[in-house]
Amino acid sequence: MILLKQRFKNYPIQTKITYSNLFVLIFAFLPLIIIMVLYEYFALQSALIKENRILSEVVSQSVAAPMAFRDELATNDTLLALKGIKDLLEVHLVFENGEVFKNYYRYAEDKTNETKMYKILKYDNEEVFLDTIKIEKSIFLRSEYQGSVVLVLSLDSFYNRLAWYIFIILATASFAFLIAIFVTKYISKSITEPLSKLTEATQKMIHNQDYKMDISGIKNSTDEVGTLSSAFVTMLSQIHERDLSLQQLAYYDRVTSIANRHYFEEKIVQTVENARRYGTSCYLLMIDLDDFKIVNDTIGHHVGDLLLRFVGQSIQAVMRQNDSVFRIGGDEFAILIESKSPQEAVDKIAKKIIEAISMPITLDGHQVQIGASIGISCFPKLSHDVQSLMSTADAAMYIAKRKGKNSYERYSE
Amino acid sequence: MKRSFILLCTFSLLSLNVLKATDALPEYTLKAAYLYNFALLTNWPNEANEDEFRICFYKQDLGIASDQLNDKKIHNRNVKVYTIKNDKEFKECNMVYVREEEVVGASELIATLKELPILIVSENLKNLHEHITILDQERRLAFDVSLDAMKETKLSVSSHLLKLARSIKQ
Repeated sequence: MILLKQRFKNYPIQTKITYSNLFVLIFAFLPLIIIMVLYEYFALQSALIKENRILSEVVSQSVAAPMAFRDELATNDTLLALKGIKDLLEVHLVFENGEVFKNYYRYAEDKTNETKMYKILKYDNEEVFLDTIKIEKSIFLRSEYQGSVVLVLSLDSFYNRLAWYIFIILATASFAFLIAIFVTKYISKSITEPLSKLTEATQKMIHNQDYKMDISGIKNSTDEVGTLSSAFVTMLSQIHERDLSLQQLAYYDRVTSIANRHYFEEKIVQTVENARRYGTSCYLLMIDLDDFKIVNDTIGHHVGDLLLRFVGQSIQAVMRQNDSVFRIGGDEFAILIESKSPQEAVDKIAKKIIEAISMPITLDGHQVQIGASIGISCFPKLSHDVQSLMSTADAAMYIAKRKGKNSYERYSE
Repeated sequence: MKRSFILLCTFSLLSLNVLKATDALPEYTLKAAYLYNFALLTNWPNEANEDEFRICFYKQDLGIASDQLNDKKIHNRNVKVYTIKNDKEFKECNMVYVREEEVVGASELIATLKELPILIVSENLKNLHEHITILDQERRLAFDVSLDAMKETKLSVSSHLLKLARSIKQ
């Protein structure tokens, strides 16, 4: 049993369900078949005895008078009529004193055992042996006991019928078993199919590391598998949301909600690579806020944060959809422009940004005005890689800052 | 030693002969059995009134075989065997048996009994009023039945008996 359990442990659920159903079926069928065969055995035997009891009655009636008169001719006529009964092997007509009046043998070879005396019980009796049945019937002529007739019958037909019965029972059981295999396979498949699909989807997810995968097609039932599927879907969407918020934390600035330095460093590599591959150009605008430190120190961090948010929004307002804005330091911002746009268009953007930032605004009841210095560099025109693009833009920004507030400078060698 | 061997052989042969003699039933015993079976397969009127079944032999019986019939039962009545010489006494009998040797003298008696319910059995006799005739045929017995003679006696015989009869006179 333990070995069986061990063996079954690693099978798929569908196989387990199929096998368990078949085992149940076998355990239900087996006693049924045994009982049916036993019942048939005893019923057939009882019918056989009944049938041959009637035969012995008929024989005893018809041989009574010939036997009383020791009329062998008339007796032979009666016995000859018994030739038609296939299973009748021997008939012995025996007088009361045990003397044999007449013997009948179906097969000549049995005649060798013929005796003149035969032991009779003198009462009606049936004995069943392994291959024969022996029936003794008393012979009466007008209620006077004359002797007994002993019939010996073969059980060949009986066993033949029993064998056919067992064959039919087994054939029917095998047929039912085959149908049961198909049905149980079909049922277990319908039960386990959603589970297999779910397993498959999970494995795919692990392989692709994509927790956004849609498996809603599996949850089509309200049973445990359906519930498990929908719970799985919910769990996946929760994982996806958590991923998003982690991404937000990793790549976006909490104060301004725009992309942070980490994102900027990845993005600039991609942008330069793209420009190099497709033969286009890109611009990097480094923005440093003038006087932000004063606002932050004198009015407070609270207003400083509000001011940073305002700056972020102002820059985004003048940018195009494809351009990216980053907060890369305390009061430093960066803009990446992927474009074949002429230099003038970029200058125009820088001007617009300075205009937007340098506007005086009221934040939390405080009148605030700051400025911005912007350094501009270009790849591949003014730099040859990411590092040089960043350092040239930085250098240009410092030049602009030295020139005075609210100005922009393009890098030049 | 030799002597005892011869004795043993003689004894064995003798005992074989004895066995042979008992193998086939003697004629008288067989005839007695026939009589008994005839009585069994025949119906008498007013049977219930009597408790004795009388089988009467005309002058000569069947020796020890006839004695063996005594105290047997026929139709629930005890059989009594009588050997009768006086004709008048036969009227009390249920069955009369006439042996071959007495047939000539018995013809008169049989004529007087012909309307009475008495079963008349004779040996090798024809054209009298006997009901059943036993015949010796090639070392075996057979019998004829005369239903014609039985007509006025109110006796009736079983079909079993008729089936076994060699011939039936209607």
